[in-house]
Amino acid sequence: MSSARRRLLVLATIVLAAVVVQTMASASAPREYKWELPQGFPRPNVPKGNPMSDAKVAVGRRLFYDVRLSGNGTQSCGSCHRQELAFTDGKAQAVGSTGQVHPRGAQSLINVVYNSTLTWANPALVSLERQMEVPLFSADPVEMGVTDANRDEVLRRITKDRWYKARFAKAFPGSKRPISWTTIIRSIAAFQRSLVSADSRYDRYLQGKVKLTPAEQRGMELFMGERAECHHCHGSFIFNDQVTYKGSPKERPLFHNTGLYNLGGTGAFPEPNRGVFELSSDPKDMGAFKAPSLRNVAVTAPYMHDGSVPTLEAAVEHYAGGGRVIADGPNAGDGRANPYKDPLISQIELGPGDKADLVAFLKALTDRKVLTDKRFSDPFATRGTGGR
Amino acid sequence: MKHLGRSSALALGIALVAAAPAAAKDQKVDIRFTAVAGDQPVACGTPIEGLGTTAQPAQLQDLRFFVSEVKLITRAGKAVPVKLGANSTYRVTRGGIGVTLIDLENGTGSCAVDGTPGMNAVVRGTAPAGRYVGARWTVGVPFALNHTDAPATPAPLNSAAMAWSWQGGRKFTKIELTDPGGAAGTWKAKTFFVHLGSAGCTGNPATGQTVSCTAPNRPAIRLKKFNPAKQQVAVDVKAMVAGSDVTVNGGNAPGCMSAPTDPECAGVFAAFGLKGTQTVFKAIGR
Repeated sequence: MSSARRRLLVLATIVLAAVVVQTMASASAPREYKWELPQGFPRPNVPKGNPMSDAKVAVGRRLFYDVRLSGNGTQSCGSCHRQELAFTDGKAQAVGSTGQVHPRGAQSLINVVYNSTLTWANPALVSLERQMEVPLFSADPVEMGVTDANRDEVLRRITKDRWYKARFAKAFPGSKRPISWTTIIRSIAAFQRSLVSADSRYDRYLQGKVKLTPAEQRGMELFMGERAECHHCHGSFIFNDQVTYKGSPKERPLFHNTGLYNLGGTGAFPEPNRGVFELSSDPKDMGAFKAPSLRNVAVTAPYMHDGSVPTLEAAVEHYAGGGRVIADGPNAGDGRANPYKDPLISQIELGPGDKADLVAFLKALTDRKVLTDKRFSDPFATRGTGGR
Repeated sequence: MKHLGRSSALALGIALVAAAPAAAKDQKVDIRFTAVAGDQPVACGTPIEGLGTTAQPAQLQDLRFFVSEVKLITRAGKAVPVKLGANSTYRVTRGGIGVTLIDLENGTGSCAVDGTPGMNAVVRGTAPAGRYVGARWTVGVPFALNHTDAPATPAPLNSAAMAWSWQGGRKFTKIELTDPGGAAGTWKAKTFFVHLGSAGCTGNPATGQTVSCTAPNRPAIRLKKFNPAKQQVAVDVKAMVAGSDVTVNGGNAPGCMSAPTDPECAGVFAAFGLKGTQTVFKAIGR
């Protein structure tokens, strides 16, 4: 072989190798996940160990609605987080797969990716992956009811399924064991992070697409103003006061006692619903719960951590009064005088018209699109079998 | 031939010298645990007599706990770390930190609720050869391993029963006593659970990691006189509840689930030596 030909051959080999490598790279590198963020929504934080991908979100969506993921095969995540109710369940307190009643109500999952802490009152739960161990494995109260005794069997229901077999491999490329509890949890977390939406009348108003009604307009001014003071705890872009996103300032997550109870005048809340106090035992945390996002609040009744406030009107009434008075029974007490109550919860002078205006504004925060968005819907329901 | 013989003897000698340090330096260590109530053995399905301030009979429902940072004490008072054996269902070493799950329930009888058939009574490992007169260990999982993702970590840290998920950690102890009469029994609260775990934890929303816990609740145990070769460690459930009435729940969780304000935690914390001297663990003959 002449040296020129040899050189040419070497060059050709290099070019070929480069092409092969590049083809391989573009085939195996997952397409970057494309967030569909509403106007004004910042880029979400995503844990390094669980990057978003369309394949993973698709797997997570199916798992979210798959009843086989509960110990006795009766419940899915979607059983207590129903899309048409903004991923709540309409109950005062959630009911687990074995019928055990949870002390607290199921919370909305829309825009959950922006929440600093998860669940009603827990400064320790700051990732969806870790939070999910609670509903899956908790024994008190039982939610999904996965135990050491049935976890292998539950996992087998998923590993044996052909749809999952094919899709998990795509969602976790290069993984030796694509289907495991870890990848199940990561997939569901990815689906939950994808639940970003803000297309309410209020959002359209901000974009100049619609006009608010006079009542909604007055309600908004009350909400944002210093008379009703709602915005102190519900002032973020998702209408709460605990948000995290790329570049968000480091702040201690806030929890508030809003004067719902005051057992025997001691400031106590009924067990096991004493808020952050349950974990910290610090008196200042008595009755301290998270201010939930008020987006879609009109479809998430009943309200508060224990569902003890039935309607939006009653919720507004509660805050207008600066707390709740319970005349008799085991929970009797004047919540307005709770010594641990957040100082921001004070009596507000609101006329009946003002209250109606506030309710009108709160109703303008409902995003109808997200309640039926196909991307977030139950894939089992389309086959008429029902995923729940 | 003579030469050859001598040189191979020399080679053998060198080989022996080379191998000797490893062989002679370490000795096997087995620290064995057994469950008792006073001087009586404790087992699933056998009622335990005379527990608590009201001397009540009780059933065992669970008896598991994590042990870490195990050290043997020399006569000179020096604490020498025990290096755990190979990873197994009950033993794991990660990043130089070793944890053993002691499991003294067998999932039968009164322990069928969420017990497991397998048992493990021993912390197994090696320590430099020597004479040891005492032992020290921590009940619980060190912070670096405690707040790890349970399903993603190897056994025994992946146990669902031992998960303390709302604090993003593990239950350090899962020792559970119940009314021997069941639902028809006479206890006002039907169960007395002793779940020690780190409490008051907070996380960093930006990273998703647990940052700190205000109450670590990891009892540090020290047996001044303990000979691992001839003795075992008794876990005394009677001593554990000596300061509590096991039949009532004065507030918070039934029994003690680590809340400082739980009235039943005062006696339990004292027994584990979280305040004062521990009384739960003692050396007894094998």
